This record gives sequence, C-alpha cells and structure tokens, in this order.
Amino acid sequence: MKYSEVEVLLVEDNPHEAQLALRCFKQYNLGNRLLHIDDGIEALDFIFSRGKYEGAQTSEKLKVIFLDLKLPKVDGLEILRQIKSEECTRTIPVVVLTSSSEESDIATAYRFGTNSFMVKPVDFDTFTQVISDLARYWILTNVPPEPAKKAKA
Amino acid sequence: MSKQRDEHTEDLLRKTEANLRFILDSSDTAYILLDNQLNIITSNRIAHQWTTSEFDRNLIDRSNFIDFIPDKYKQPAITVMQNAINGTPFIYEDKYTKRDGAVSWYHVRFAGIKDDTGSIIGLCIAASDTTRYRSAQGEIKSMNESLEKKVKERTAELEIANKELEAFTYSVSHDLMAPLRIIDGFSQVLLDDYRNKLDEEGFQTIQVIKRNATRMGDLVNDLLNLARLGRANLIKRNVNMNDLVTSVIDEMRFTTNKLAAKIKLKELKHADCDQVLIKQVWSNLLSNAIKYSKNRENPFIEIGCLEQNGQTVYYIKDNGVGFDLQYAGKLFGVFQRLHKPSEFPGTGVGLAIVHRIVTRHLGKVWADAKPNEGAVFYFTLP
Repeated sequence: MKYSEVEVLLVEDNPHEAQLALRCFKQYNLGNRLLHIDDGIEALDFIFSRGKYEGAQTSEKLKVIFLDLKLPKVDGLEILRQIKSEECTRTIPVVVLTSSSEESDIATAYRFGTNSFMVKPVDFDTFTQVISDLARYWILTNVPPEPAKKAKA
Repeated sequence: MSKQRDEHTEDLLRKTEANLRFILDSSDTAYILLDNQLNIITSNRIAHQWTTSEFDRNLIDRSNFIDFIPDKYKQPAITVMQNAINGTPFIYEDKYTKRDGAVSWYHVRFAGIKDDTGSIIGLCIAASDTTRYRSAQGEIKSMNESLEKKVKERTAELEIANKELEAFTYSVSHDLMAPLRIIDGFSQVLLDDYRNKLDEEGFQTIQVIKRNATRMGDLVNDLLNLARLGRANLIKRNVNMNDLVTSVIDEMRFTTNKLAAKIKLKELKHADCDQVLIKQVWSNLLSNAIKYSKNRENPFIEIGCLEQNGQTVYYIKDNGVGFDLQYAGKLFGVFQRLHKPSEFPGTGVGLAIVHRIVTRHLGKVWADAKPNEGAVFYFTLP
C-alpha cells in the first residue's frame, strides 16, 4: 500500500493494544488501507509528509486518524493540537481513543478540536463493538472533506 | 453645730484624700500632678521610685518640677508642659535606657487638669512602662508570622500531595487499564481462534480470566471515581430533591432490565447541595435497594424524608435481604461487602462513594437493617 492511499491512521504505542484494534478492523474488512504507527514523532512526520514520508501525499486520502493519548516523546494531545492548528490538516477527522476518562483530557481534546473522544472499555466484546461502530461510521458512513478542499499549504 | 459640721467635712476630706492616695499608689503608672506654675502638687509611689532610682532625688511636694528635669531635656519639656496647660495634650512613646542598662519603653502623657468650670488649673504627667506589652506584641507578631509561614508550607505540601494524587490517578487510569484490556482481549483471541483445540476445562479457565479482568477494570474505575469525588469542588445550590430523585428513578427504569420493584416517592424537602454529586448518592442508594430486593416476591422501595432534631433526614427503605447490623461498621468502607459477588454482584465502592459525598457536604449517613427484613439508609445534608 502506498502512503498516499492510507485512509485510516492508527497511532498507538502499545503493540498488543494495536494488535487487538487491528483485529477488530480486519474482522469488519476495514483494515485494508490502515497504517499503524507506534510513535508520536513519526505520526507527525506522516501527517505532515516530513522525514521519511517526505514527498508522499500522505494526508491526501486520510478519512480518519485514531489517536491514543499517552505516547512516548510527543503525546496525543500535542499531535491533535498540531493537526488542528495547521490549515492543511485541520479538516482531517480525529478520534481520540484512550484508556482515561480524565476530565482534563476530555476538555483539552475538545478544545484542541477533536471530532470524537472515546474511552476504550476493558471488556473486549464491548471494545470490539465500539471500535467497529466507530470504524464503520468514520470510514464508510461519514463523508470526508474533499482533498481539494484541504487548502494546500 | 457649725464647728461640728466643719470637723465632719474635714474628716470626709481626709478620708477621700486617703482613698485617692491609696488608688494612686496602687497604680503601675507614674503620676505627677503640677499646678499652673509647674510646682509639684503631688506624685505617687511609682513616680518616687523612678526618680530616686534614676536621679537619686525625691519628688518633693510644692517644689518646682523643672528642677528635676535633666538639663538636656529641660527646654523641650517646658514647651510640652506649657502647651498642655494651654490645652494641647501631648502623648509620646519612646525607649529609655535606665541606669542599669536595661532598655524600657515608656508611654508618657501630658494633659491639663480642669476644674468644674472647664478651665485648666494644672498639669498631669502620667508615664507607664510598656516594655512587657511591646514584647508580648512582638511575640504575637512573630507567632503570627511563623503561623503564616507554616500555613504556607502546609498548603504547598498539600498542593504537591494533590498533584501527586492527580498524577497517580491519571497514570492508574491509563497504565492499569491497558494491560487489563489486553488480558481480556487476548483471552478472547484464544477463544475465537483456538476454540476447537480447547477442552471444556480450558474454555472455562479462559472465561474465568476474562471475568476477572473485567471485574478488575470495574474496580479500578470505581476507585478512580472515588478519588475524583474527593477532589471535585462542591457547587452548592438549592436543589428540588423530588425532581432529582424522579430523574434518577427514570434513568434506573431505562437501564435496568425488568425493574420489578414498586417505588414509592414521597414529598421531599429541597436541599442546599451539589446536584451532580447528590444525584450520584441517590443513584447508588437506589440501585442498591433494587439489587438487594429483586429476589423478593413483591419488591418495594420507599423514598422520603423526616424531621429529626430540627434536621431533615432523607431515607430510602427496601424490603430486600437486609443485613446484620453488627457488620454496619463495614458498610461504608471501600471494597467492603456484606454479600458474596455470586449472590449480588458489585465492587463494594458504591456506599463508600455515598459516604464520601455526604461527608463532604458535612452531613451524616447511616443505616438500619435486619437480615431478611430489608434495609433503610438515612442521610442528612446540613
């Protein structure tokens, strides 16, 4: 899969959590155009086509970014802030997926402009249900902004 | 007759003078009374002590006071005394180094003495030693300062502790939940992908793992809620308890499958409280009442309030399984349960949360119950 064809970006540092999430996506055939990145800095490089993603039209077809909050080096809230403060990336839907229901996190995420905030349930059945609902909604149901509408930086 | 009266008057005057002398000599303040010419009319015991120990001189009645004043103070003293006689009293407080080297503070007052027509006929000098008063004041000041410093230190410590607690709960909610989810998730993976390689015992074993991972998730969540309630600011306002409880009952009907209990809601008095938190109290108490009465033939719950010693006491009563009051002490502790999870599910945090919220409102919560005869929970919100 070319980087320019990525529709779903999953930013999650815990490999086991990522594995479980990917399993959900695959179960509903939603994992084909999904890229998993386990590091905050690399996630920013991808979103802004920098570093090893230099030149790849990475955010061209992105329909949604699933973002964990607790990441090493650059945390999820900072990634969210950068996405939502740049003209060229602010229209990409971002769904915060996190273990914490800390009020301060929820408040900050919405202030930075998250499109959705989800607390991952412990129970895997519920987790599967929620992930698949979210994925179906953001990948299949929701109409994303046209790439043309994304102002070129 | 006339002579007798004179003697009587004189006798009275003598007595009055003796009384005045006694009062003057008992005082800790030095008094010197002068006439308009600054001649000494009289002075008291303390004034004598002072002039003898400091100047080796006795204050002699009818001698001129100016002679007693050391030369370097003479001119300013005369000015001050003349001003006082002319109607401008003068008050000052200053340090004085005694002969023995001790430093004392004195409060000195020069004021005119008036006759009954209001004209000034002499001068009163009153000097009192304020050293002890001043040092007590200094002590109070330094005590206040050290108290203030202590309060600041404690506040800073408390802030640090709060920050640490916040960081702790934050990390608990992030870091403890993820492994639990992974345990539950990968157990499910085993069940899904390796179902035909597992015998019945293996299948059941994985179910146990899953159930316990979920249970621990519930426990952690409840503990986090409890910690949050301890931090949340109380936002008090006048709350219509009937509306509040009605909404709790409605929500309970919506979320509980086949709510069999008959719930009777009596008229409740309004309360000054935090609506969100007290809603949580009613919700926890009601879900307990529903849980512990659901196996009854006719589960019945009554919610109301009564007046006791001038206080409003809210109560919720059920006809459920109840409990033995000798365990009532454990009722409101965290993770304390009076029933096995297999009988009635739960984490043992619900009543701890109730207790925390009511206590934060400075109220009280208690219970009354008998095994198999139901339970009543009471609380007050002063």
